[in-house]
Amino acid sequence: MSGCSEIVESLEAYALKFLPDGEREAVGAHLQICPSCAGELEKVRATLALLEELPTRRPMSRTAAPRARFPWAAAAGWLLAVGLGALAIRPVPPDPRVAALETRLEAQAAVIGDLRQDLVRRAREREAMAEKLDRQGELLRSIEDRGRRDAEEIRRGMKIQEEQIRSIGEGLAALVRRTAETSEQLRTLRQVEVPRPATPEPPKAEPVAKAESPPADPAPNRSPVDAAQGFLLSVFRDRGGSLNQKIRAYKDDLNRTYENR
Amino acid sequence: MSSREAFDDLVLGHADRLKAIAYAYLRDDAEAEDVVQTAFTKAWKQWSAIGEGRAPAWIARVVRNEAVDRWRRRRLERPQGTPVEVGAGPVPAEPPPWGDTEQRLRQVQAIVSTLPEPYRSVVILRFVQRLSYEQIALELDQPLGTVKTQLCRAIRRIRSEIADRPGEEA
Repeated sequence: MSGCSEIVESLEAYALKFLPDGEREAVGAHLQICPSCAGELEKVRATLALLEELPTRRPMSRTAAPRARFPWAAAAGWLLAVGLGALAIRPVPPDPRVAALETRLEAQAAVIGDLRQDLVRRAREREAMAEKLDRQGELLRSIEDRGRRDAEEIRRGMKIQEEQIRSIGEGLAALVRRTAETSEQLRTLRQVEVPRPATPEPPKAEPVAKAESPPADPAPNRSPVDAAQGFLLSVFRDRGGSLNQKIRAYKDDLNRTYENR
Repeated sequence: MSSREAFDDLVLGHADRLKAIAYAYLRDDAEAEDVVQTAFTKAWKQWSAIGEGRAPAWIARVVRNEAVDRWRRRRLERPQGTPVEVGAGPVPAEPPPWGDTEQRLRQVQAIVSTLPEPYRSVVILRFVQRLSYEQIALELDQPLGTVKTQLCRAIRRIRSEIADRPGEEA
């Protein structure tokens, strides 16, 4: 059996194909004729088959429970926390529900963040709108002020105009009074002239000659009626010169007329 | 991708795989998870130094080292002869030599977890972590030939253990 014991020593290497070609053939030849060694080879192969069946994965106990969406991502976070904390302390395995809660919390935090942003945006909009309202209010107030000032000015202007109109009216009334007085004087003068119809012809021819001479140099026998007529003509025809000047001229005319007599 | 997202991906994609490695050493779910969590914590602390691409291999190494450390501490804390296995069921009255598949698998797991180093790590790297022989050689900083020899001896030990205690409940 010494040959067999050598062969048996090589059976594992033979089964694993570790043997160089020469040795391999020798063992193979022996196995052909030795049922005992062939039987031992079967046991080696059976052992190898068992070893091949050794599990290459072994599920972590916490993952045997219903899994959260990312159980190990959560576990990684947990491991990290444990690692940074105390290595000596044996950590409690994370509950998959914790991972689910964390996911939910994150989602809720995101929603809260969105809401907060929305609120901030709305508050800003409200502030902007309030500012705009303030500005418009100021504008309205300034327009009102201006309107009030304008109205006062108009009222003042109207008062001045009213006064002016009143004074013009008074002036007009005075003028009417004076005209009435003048026409009264004229009538008085005419009544004075009536008892003197003595000079009939010459005064008729004289006005023609008089018309050519300047008015400042009246004829010696010029009557007060002529003077009145001249005055009236100057008032109604001649637009230049003031009424006072005309009246003064008429007075002078009358004086000259009476001096000539 | 932020470093936090990359780290989360590492946790999501590798936790179960890393736990299988730790469990192969310790055969205790709570302890295996502790080991994985400790490894993740270390990974996060040194994230910038590790680099995203190297992270899976790096963290697997941390898990392996941490598991071996715990296993040693546990052996020191417990009196000699106390069964290391946790959750061992009653031994069947007449156990068949190979039992059913489930039972045999538990038995192999128990045997693997009690193999002396470096056999245990070679087996776990090959059959739990599913590394190539070249990768195992790199991980253990051993020549490829040495790794192959160690693996053959480990399988022989397992085979003899199965023969010594057929059908023993883990």
